Amino acid sequence: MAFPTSNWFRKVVQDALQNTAAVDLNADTIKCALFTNSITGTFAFDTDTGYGLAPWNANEVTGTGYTAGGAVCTSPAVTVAGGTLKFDASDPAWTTSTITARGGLIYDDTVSDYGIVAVNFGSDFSSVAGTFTVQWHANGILTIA
Amino acid sequence: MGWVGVPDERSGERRVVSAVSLFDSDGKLTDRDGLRSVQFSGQRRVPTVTVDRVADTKTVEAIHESTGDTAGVHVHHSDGRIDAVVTPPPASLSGTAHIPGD
Repeated sequence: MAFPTSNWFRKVVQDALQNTAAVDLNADTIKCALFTNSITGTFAFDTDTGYGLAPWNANEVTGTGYTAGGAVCTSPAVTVAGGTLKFDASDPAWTTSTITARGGLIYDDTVSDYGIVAVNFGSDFSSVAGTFTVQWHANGILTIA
Repeated sequence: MGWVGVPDERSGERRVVSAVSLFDSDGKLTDRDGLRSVQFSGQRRVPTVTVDRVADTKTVEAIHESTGDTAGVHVHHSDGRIDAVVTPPPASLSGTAHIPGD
């Protein structure tokens, strides 16, 4: 098994639309947790809740400069323009870190650690006593067109 | 992507043959010449490397293993430090739940 293809979590959308999850992607604390390519298990994006529950409860990155749970992506914002909804936030970074990661889980740390999107980096990335940065695209982390 | 190039009997030019089995059901090689003729249409993608002599750094592109696109860079410093910069494409929420670039 390995880090799955990038995908979004339907569970959080379903629960938000059914008013069983008070998710506010403009105000909640959004985090990015890093995982290695050794992550295993069944990736059920329809039903998986998110961080801390299988399969997102093992194979998180360990190493100097990394704390379990990941880093906060500050200034989260949901905007709509030109027929496209965009979710964006600041780039998470781990300074003076020695870590290797294959992908990131972006989740809502405020509400039940709901997974929002899992991003496969496409390659292993390693920092050595340096800064590990995930630089989100100009079009954001997630778009709905 | 691989294909079996078989010499045309008349022209000698190689032609693409599809649905050719080189192995029997037990996995034993049955067409050694056919296996030798397998060629790959893909081209090796060499990562871009740039050197900044002022900053004394070397930046090596990381290639996305699935798409061949740029996945980010590693910046090597002269003192041994290495920075990693990941540049993932945005996830696209669609009916097929497919995220371009991954």
